[in-house]
Amino acid sequence: MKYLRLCEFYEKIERTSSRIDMTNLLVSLFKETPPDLIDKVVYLTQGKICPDFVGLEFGIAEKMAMRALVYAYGKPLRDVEELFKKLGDLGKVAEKLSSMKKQMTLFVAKELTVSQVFSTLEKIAKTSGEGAQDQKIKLLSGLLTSAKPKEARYLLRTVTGRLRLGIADMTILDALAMAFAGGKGNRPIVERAYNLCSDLGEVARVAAKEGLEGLRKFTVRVGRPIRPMLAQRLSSAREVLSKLGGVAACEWKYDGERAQMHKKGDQVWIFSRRLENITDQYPDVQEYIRENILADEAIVEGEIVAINPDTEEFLPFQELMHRRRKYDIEKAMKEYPVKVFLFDALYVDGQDLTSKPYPERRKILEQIVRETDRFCLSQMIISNDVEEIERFFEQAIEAGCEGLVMKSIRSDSIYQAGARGWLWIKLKRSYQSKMAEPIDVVIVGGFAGKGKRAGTYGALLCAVYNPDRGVFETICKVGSGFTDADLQTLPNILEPYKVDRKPKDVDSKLEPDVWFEPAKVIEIIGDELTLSPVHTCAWGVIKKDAGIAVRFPRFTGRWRDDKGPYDATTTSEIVEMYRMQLKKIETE
Amino acid sequence: MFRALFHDARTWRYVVDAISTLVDEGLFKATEEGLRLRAMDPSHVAMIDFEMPRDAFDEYECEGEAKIGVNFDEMKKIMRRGRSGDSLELIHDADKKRLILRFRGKSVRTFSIPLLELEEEELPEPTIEFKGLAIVTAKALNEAIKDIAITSDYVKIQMTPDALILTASGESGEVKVEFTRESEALLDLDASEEISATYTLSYLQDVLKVVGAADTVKLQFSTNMPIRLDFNLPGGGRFTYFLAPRIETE
Repeated sequence: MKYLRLCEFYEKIERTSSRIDMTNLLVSLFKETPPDLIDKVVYLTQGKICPDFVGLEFGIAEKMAMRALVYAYGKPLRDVEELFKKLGDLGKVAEKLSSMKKQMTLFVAKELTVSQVFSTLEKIAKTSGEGAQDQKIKLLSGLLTSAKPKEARYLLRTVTGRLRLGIADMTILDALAMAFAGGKGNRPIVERAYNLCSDLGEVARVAAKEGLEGLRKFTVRVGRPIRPMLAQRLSSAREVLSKLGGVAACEWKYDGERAQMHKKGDQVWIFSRRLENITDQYPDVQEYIRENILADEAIVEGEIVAINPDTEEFLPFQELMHRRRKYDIEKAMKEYPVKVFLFDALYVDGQDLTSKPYPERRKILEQIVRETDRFCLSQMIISNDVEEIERFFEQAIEAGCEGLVMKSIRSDSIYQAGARGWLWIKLKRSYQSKMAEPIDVVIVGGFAGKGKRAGTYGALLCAVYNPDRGVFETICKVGSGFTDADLQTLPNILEPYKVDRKPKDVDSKLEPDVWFEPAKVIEIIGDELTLSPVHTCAWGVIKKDAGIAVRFPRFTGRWRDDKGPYDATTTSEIVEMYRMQLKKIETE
Repeated sequence: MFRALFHDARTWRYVVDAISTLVDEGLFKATEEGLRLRAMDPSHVAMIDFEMPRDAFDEYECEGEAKIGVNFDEMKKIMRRGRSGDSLELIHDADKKRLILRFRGKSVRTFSIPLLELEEEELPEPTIEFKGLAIVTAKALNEAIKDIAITSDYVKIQMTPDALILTASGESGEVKVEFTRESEALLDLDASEEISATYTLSYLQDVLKVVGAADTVKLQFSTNMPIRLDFNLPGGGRFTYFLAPRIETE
């Protein structure tokens, strides 16, 4: 098959915005493609050479692509740059240069074939290490010398990741169903195959060669990511409960990276939500999986969360970005440790669990996981009580989670790979109160530190003053923002105020390791003020059975020695701040 | 098995230098007749056809055919260590998958590099009907190209029945180098009509790295057609270079 033919289809697809036209064009393209090439054509049409989980990328930035153009067309770099500025699309630049090419070649170029283009693109992607840039440039310019202007346009767009034909995976599935599986009515069978293998090329090949029969034979395979089940979203626990039939499994929705973890003997794979292979980013998680999944073969799902190793507090999702690098992973691993919270099992020792109901999957998960400090099951309760769920929700938010995922526990609560159905429903906050300024809080308790913080405090229990009641109401546990020097001096500073039991004027539901007489005032700031079932500040004022807490609190470094405990921020000020800053969260 | 001894290591230094500008890797083929290499650059603009016949070597042993795939960057580094007066011994060690390069001079220095497993490319010789031929000294051509490089990235080569003319023009000015029948550097000229073609200078500059090993160059071309350069090497060796033209159309 000629590459030019493929480019002609690209051009037609590009010109239409109707999904029906696009699907029909794909159907004719697929029917015209020899079955041995169909996977390659599908990848190329998506601007790829393999499914995402293989993790093979072209690694050609704009600058490099321009150098290939210089090489192929014998134009000075500044001319190419100039043209790029004018046309804004390297594909068009290549097309233009190709059509006004002056440097002849020794032999009349043979027409490019799809397999030749594919194998060269594959070589480009696989070239790495020293001298890889030059090698990639040469391979690309080699293709360009044989390419007609139109082919040059699409080649450049492909290697720079800008093919963008606007074809969704679902459109390809439709077209495959129509071309090879007896029509659109059989789309679910095609889609099921895709959901289980996450590889459109493979689905296309099996569809073209074996038809419906072949597609029906797809099963879960360890090492191959399954397209994740997604959740719908509602904004109140009551609504969710009624949608799920009055009772639900409620899990904390951790603010981390969703990970699908595969284990086969000693071999381990970790895939991201987008099914990229992220195994190398998490050597620590690999080890947890090897040691703590008590099955030879398993596919489990969980959330990887960054934590502060000194305080065990969750850190925001962004901290995980430190793991998104190729070098110094060992260092990142030490500086940004993670904790894994497992929430599902899709496959265990030869058994495909995706068609089992959630409670059964969770039970199997519990059986095959040995929980440790860093590798455990997600916080979960099964409840039919709106108030209990709301408390659980607030607790999750305060701990740094995004909310809850509520899951059906009925007999039909299967794992719907690749689907966003109503079996799982996210419960996120619809309001949040950003914290604009720091507050002054009184230290009323201390939690013993571990590890690096052994001998000092891991976190301090802090309170604001409620003059109406004449008591100190807790508002947060703060462990972040302290320098090593701060930490060293903490025990000495606080020693004089240590008391045996909870002071009478402190209102707290938490039991710290050490109580302090309300005396020392520090300045803290947080990301927001949030409702809390744990902290007593303004208890019941905003909401029944809830107080207000600071989310992601940290010490600003200022000891307010100029302030006495009664000069600390007051409860009514906190309530005012909460109300002033309360804003509806834009739904994503 | 293949082993050969060549009396002047420097010849190889220049040859390998020139080849390395065209391709990163390549395949020498040793047969009973001699050693050959044919290589084309990835963009198919230029091609080298190199041949050192068995008689050019002082000693030559080859049974059957040996394919010697090398990385020219590596080989270049070694060849640059050849000193004046050194002879070069080439040995193909098929068992250890090594090419052994040995300089024999004031001392014996032995290098070896791993052999690459390369697929043999089928490269036909371009078929071109040449309308003109000139032979100039290698040195003079090299100087002429250096003159041109001052002004432009391209060179226009013209041939009339009486002269070989190289011209260029650029933003900074113009340059013209003439070899007439009176010029000492022009050894032969044969053109029945006036012909001209333009070539990319950088390719010529690259291949002229071989001039250190050659006395004379034979140029052959036709209007807007590839040029063929034949550098004669000591002992009957041949280094042929084909370069496709640039066509100025607007």
